[in-house]
Formats: sequence, C-alpha cells, structure tokens
Amino acid sequence: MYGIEAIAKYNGWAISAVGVSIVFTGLVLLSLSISRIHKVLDLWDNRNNIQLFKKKVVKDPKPELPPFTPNEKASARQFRLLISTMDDPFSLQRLLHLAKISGLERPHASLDHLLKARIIEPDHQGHHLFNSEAFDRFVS
Amino acid sequence: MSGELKILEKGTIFSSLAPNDLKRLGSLMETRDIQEGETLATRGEKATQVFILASGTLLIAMDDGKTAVMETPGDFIGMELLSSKGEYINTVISLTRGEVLAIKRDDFIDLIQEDSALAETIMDQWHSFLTETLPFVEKEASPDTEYHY
Repeated sequence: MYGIEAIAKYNGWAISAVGVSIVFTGLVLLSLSISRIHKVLDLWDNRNNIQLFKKKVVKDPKPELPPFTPNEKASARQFRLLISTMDDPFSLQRLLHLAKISGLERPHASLDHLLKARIIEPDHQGHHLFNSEAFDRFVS
Repeated sequence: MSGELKILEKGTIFSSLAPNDLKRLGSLMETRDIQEGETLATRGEKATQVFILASGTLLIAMDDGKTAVMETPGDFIGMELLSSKGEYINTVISLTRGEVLAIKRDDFIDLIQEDSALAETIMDQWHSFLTETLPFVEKEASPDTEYHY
C-alpha cells in the first residue's frame, strides 16, 4: 500500500492537520508576543511611575505654619480690630483697603499670613469669616 | 519651558490638555515676577494679559465687594477678568512676592479661536473650576465673560 491510500489508512490526514495546527498556533503566539514587546519595554522604562509599585505618600495639604512672631501677632490683633468694625461675613478687599488706609505695616503680606493660618477663612460665597479659634491658637 | 509646562499640568484648567496643546500654550507664555502689593490688573482698564499663577498669592477683587484668593500653582486668572469688550472686570492684587505666567490676551484668544476642540476643553474645565471652587463667580460673572468665537 502506497501514496494517498496509505496516508488515509494510517490517519495521515488527521496527523498532518494536528501538526499544521500546532505550528500555526505557535507562530500566532510568537507573533503576538513580538507585537507586545514594545508595551513590556515601556512598562520597564516607566516602572518607577507605576502606581501599583509606588509608595503611597500621605500629603499634608497645608503644612503647619510656624508660630507667629511678636510683630505678626501685633499685626493680627490690628486686623482683628478692623474686622470687628465690619459685617460678618466681611469683604476681604474692603479689609485690605482699611488696613492700607490705617497705615498697617505690610498689609498685603500680613493678610496673606492670616489667610494661610486660617484665621481668615472664605465663606465660599465671596466673603470671609474671622476664625476665633485659629486666632487664639496662633496669637493669644 | 519645562517648568512652565509643569505648572500648566498642575492646574485644573489645563491639566487635561494634550501635550502638543500644552506646548503651544507654553510657547505663548512669559514668566513675570510679581511684588507684594502689586496690582496686576485693574477693573475697567484695557485687558492685555491673562495670568497663570506660578507662585505666591493673588487677591481678585470683584465689583460687588466679593473677593477670591488664588494660591495654588496653575490657577488661571483670565476668563473672569476679560469682558467681551476687552476690559478687565476685576482687580487683581498680589499679596506676596511670586511669579505668574502671563499670556497676551490677543494671543490667547487667537489660540482658542483657531482650535475649537482646544477652546471647548478649556472652557469646560474653566466652568468646572468655577463651579467647584468659586461658585459665586460663575453665577454672576458668566453672562458677561463669554468670548465670541
């Protein structure tokens, strides 16, 4: 028995089909792997930026301010006096204007300091509020 | 330039822009030192520049006595300043020394006029920023501050 007849008799067609499938599957897997190599290399290059491997840093949104100096305390007290003459909540730009015409020393920087210390806080409606607790903590 | 782009990326308004758009915006900016007490813009005067805060604290004084304080790098001071007549509608005062990135108003308008997708992204982010952080500005200032594309 020879040729096609022998191939058919001893499962030659099935064996060759399995062989072809195995080879093609291998080639497909190989080509997929090669096509993804650039992604793997990108991951490797940016391994320091991957969130999964990053150490979680707990950020403090507002670093604690150092204690007020005597001059800063005096300035804060003057601002409190001015605020006491205003409505509650008050206009920050009006407060700055009053501080300037009252001759307070470095009114802009002092106001910024009070904002950073949260002694003056926004009311989220465009006006500001005086925070007595923060004032006591930093100034008294 | 890379430092300026990093500041843009930090801000709410520009962080979602594509890298190419950020570079285009960055190419229009110039860094400007600001001094304590300096007035960057005065209400009613011709609007020449928009600003992006790099460092320091800015006080925005509005017409009705309301006030906003900008202190986060990347904060944008622009749309609320410019009326369609080309005048500043608020006064901007620096409370501390610092730096702003200034863009000429005309350059900024040209940029957003020639790229509608970019303009839409910026305006969307701007409205989100106002709603989240300065809701009182959005309610009252929006009708007068829209650009005419």
